[in-house]
Amino acid sequence: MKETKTVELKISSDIFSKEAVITTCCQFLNDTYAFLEKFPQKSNDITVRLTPKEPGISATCLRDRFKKELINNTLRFNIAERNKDIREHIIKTALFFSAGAGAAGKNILDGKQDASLDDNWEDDPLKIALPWEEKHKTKPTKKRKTKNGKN
Amino acid sequence: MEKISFCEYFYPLTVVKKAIKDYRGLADFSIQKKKNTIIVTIDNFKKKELSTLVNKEFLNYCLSLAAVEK
Repeated sequence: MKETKTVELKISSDIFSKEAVITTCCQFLNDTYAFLEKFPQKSNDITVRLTPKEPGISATCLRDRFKKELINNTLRFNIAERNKDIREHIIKTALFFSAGAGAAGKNILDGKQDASLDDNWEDDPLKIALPWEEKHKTKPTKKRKTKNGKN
Repeated sequence: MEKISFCEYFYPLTVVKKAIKDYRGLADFSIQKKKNTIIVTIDNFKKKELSTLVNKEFLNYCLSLAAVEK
């Protein structure tokens, strides 16, 4: 029986966050046994040890896959961090209107978010809320008279 | 007897304790805390032939719990 080789990766925590590393390791739990270390404690290096469960998986392939996923996850976490305020605002607004808090006169938004909501949100300059029939109301057409006086 | 040193930076104490609670039927676990390290000793495996497997799966389980915890 072939022995499985342990892959050891050193990752700088200055570039890759702890969350991204843990999430990436979790993606490999089906195929490998993963273990994380930070040694020495004060260093910025994270050591990841991946031992394939099956002997067929090549170490180079595993290493490359891990690096690729780590970059993907780091990007995801960065984007999530950047959009955090927007997401919070959307969810709070949705909850505010769905829970009936708006009708009860309660305000669950903080001052900054509340100010960002337009005061004149009921205005409809583009006539979006206008029913189709009213928007495309046709004027009564005049009937043309033919020479004979018939239509 | 197996000894595992968990770095507290990745594996918080609550996570390790929860994992031990879930795995206690498979072996005897004891826990020690030293500075930023949690040392788990696993002994008296119920099935000795599965000792390595239990040990490795325990590490994976701790990691999955740590991911949820964060």
